[in-house]
Amino acid sequence: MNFDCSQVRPLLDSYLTNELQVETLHAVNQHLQSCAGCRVALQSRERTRAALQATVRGLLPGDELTALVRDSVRAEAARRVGVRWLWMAVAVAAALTLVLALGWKEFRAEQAQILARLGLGKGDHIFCARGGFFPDDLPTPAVMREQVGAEYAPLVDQVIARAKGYVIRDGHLCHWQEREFVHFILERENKLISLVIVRKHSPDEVFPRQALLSTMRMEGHPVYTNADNGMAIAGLDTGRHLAFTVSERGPAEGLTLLAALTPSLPR
Amino acid sequence: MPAPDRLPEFESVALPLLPDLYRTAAAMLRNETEAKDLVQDVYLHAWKSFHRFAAGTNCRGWMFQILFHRLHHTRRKLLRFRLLSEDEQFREDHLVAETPVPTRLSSEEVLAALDELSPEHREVVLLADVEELTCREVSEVLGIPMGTVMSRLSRARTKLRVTLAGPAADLGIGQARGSR
Repeated sequence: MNFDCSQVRPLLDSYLTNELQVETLHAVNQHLQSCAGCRVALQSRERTRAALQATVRGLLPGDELTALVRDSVRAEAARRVGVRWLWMAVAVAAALTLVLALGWKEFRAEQAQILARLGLGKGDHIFCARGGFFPDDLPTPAVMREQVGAEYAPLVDQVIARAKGYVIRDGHLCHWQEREFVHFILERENKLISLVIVRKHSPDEVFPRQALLSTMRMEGHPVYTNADNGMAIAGLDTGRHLAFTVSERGPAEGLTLLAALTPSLPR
Repeated sequence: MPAPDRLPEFESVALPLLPDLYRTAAAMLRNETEAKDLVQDVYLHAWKSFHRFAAGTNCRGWMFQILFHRLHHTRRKLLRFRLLSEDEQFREDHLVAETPVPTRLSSEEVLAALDELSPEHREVVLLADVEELTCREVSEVLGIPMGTVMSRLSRARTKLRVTLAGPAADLGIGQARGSR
């Protein structure tokens, strides 16, 4: 394929951005070797592009704009939390209605059931993470995949990808009260967050059927929460497993982590 | 509205894009205060619709989409542009010999040349040549057909070169202005 100048000139911008097909690229290259005019035209395009990039990329926002944008978005989110309080008030009213409907005894029984389920995550966190049962050296992803076993190995990459900003101190299988847990221990600023997953003993091992007692829903699953002794515990039922985050960095981080990982959790 | 607990996720994916959005806004509006206001407006809109953003998809393209949506619908009057005169249009269409672009160009010269473009031409050249979006991505961001993107891009690049090449190019002949 032989090109003349009138065919090459319209292709030079695409040539610069590597958008030409192989045959066309070859023909343009051949023409450029023998045509000084088109080489000059190519250089003009290169200079224009480089000058444009350097000039526009030199228009910098300044640190104050980043701070201003962050503050205004946070203020908007906080305003939304205000609305959320209203919903919480509605939820409290609904819970009271539930108390009236079910009776105090049954309401207390459902609350006890929630605390018992959340206690699984909390117990493993206290035993293993607070107990310091993780190595001083950070494990590699390959080591963690081996430690959690083939069934849960894909979760390692998901935790690495989604728990940004945390140091992953360990991912392993551990045992507490004769049950086996998949346990990821994350750390930020010397405070720990655990992601704990446990296979159900039986299909009956569920949270209460009254989702009104839950805090929110993630991927359609009601999420139950509790705060105890500096730990914010959040848990949900994925089907054959119960999953928890136990956060010593406040409830928001625990919920954010659980929300980020819910799509990847074993069902 | 997104749940407040998605705020850290929003900040981690959207805030790093602020310099890219600001420079595009500044180059489009050519007014620092207006550009800053626009970027703030874009982030508030992005946050309010973050629940519709699918995690793992192209956040940069999505943010640019919001930027140009806000720009087109609320600030069109602020866009500075002039239409090409018939004479200039004729020369652009029929330019046979190209004048080389000088080897040294100041930022003022480049920004002045950018000002000479219509907003429709300016936006495609900024997205394609500065932000390095593909033609398909530019078409998605601006909501215009690929063919339109390609023809606008070609005309915008030609116009920029002609303006930057300087007075000799006004004659439509291949005479270099020379380096300074």
